[in-house]
Amino acid sequence: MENNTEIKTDLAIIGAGMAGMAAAVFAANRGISAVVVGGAGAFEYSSGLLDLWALTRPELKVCKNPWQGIGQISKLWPRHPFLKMGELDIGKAFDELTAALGKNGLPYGGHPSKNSGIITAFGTLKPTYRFPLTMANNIAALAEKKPILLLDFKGLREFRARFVQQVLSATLQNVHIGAIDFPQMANRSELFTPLMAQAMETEQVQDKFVAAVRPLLNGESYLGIPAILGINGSYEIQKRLEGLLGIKVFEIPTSPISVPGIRLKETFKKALEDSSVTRLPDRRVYSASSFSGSAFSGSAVPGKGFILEANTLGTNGARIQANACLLATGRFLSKGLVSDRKGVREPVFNLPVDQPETRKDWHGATYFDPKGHAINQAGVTTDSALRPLGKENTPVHESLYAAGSILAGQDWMRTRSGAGLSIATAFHAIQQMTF
Amino acid sequence: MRVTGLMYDEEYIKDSQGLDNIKFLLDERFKGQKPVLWDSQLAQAELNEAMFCSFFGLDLIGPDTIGPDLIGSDRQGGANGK
Repeated sequence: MENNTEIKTDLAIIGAGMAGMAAAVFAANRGISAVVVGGAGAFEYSSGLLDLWALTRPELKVCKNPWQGIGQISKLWPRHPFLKMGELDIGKAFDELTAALGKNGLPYGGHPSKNSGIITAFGTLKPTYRFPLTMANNIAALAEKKPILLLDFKGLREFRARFVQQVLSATLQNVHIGAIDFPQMANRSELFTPLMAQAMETEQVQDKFVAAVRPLLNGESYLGIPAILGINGSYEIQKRLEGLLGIKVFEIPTSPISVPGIRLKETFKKALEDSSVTRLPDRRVYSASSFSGSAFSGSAVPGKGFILEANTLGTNGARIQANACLLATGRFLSKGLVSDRKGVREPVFNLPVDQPETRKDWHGATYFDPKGHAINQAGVTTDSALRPLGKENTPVHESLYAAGSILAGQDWMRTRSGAGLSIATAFHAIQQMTF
Repeated sequence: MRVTGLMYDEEYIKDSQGLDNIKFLLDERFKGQKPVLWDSQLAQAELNEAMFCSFFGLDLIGPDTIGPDLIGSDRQGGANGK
């Protein structure tokens, strides 16, 4: 892109994680002219599972029905962003998003009113709302208790079948383990799941995989493998392997950098091709002012529209002129919130950040404190339309919105609601906008 | 995690002992880290918490660690549960 590029758009989405990309898909579906700024690197840390709500706090009870957990939010989480929208909209947001993912080659499954347990690389069962269909057979395997073969790859350290088997053994006994060399990578001392997934996209590697697995089968009904069945076309690869092996196959999500997360990123990109949304993946918004040039300092700014400076550090700038903005920059890891020893701030619009009074209140006594850590509930407060509030408790700008984990009053990690928070608030924010 | 995997492979540990070890280590490390958990340390802690709690579920205790409640959920076929 050239120096001082000028871009005019209706909506600028700042941040390309789950909230930003979900908002981009919702904007594209509505024909809204938008740009989404950011690198989507966060998806590499995503498990690929789409949580809605799965855990009550501080009782630590797994919710079989996510809507039951959400029904209790007003009591337990009085400032939670979900309280700003109807449950029906949360459901619609999930349906619209997973439909877009499915249409672009990444089909998801899940029950409309139930969480499902997905086996992780720690042998634990992660309760989640929607899961890639390549993991679906895991649910039947658990229910049927028929023999499962868990497959190790020599040199892959993120997944050890015996680890999974041993932790699972309290619930499931019929789990066998076996090991193969990954085709064409037998001489490597260490394997990485994204490279394995890429290799698995060729039929030649799939056939070699099948030939290596076949001798290990001994009457099992299911084959569990780490999530390596391709970046693109994973569902088709799974079906092909099942046809060749004659047993059901399921994927087990591994720790980052995660293949199911990369699939999400690639599928979002595909969903936005030839749409009303332009991606600016190499840039980051460093500063914003109103269209009339007023700086944002935490107080209400009059007038319409925004000017955003979107740069790649040390290179050319882009100036984005937008009628509305959606702030979806995430929390500390993605620098949507920045902390020092004194407190937490929001760097793009200088929004007030709701936070504990002093740093000693940020964390609980122990790591696994059932109440979670107060710092994780810090963030941006908004009105019912998800417009961030300024010092005067009124919206900072009439068309500035916020979505995703930057919002205050929630703890997505300890309630298992990360994707749901991002998807639902992105949907709600987009619905408020008129152009 | 890698060490835990190796310990399972070599059969030094069994059942959920590896998870108990990881939980113990995380708690011990937290005690030392707490005074400096801001800026990049806080960002890294966020990533770890997302992984160990949200993804692997180590914050669930006892039998809930493997979530027996969820076994036997209806099997779901097509996208969106249809």
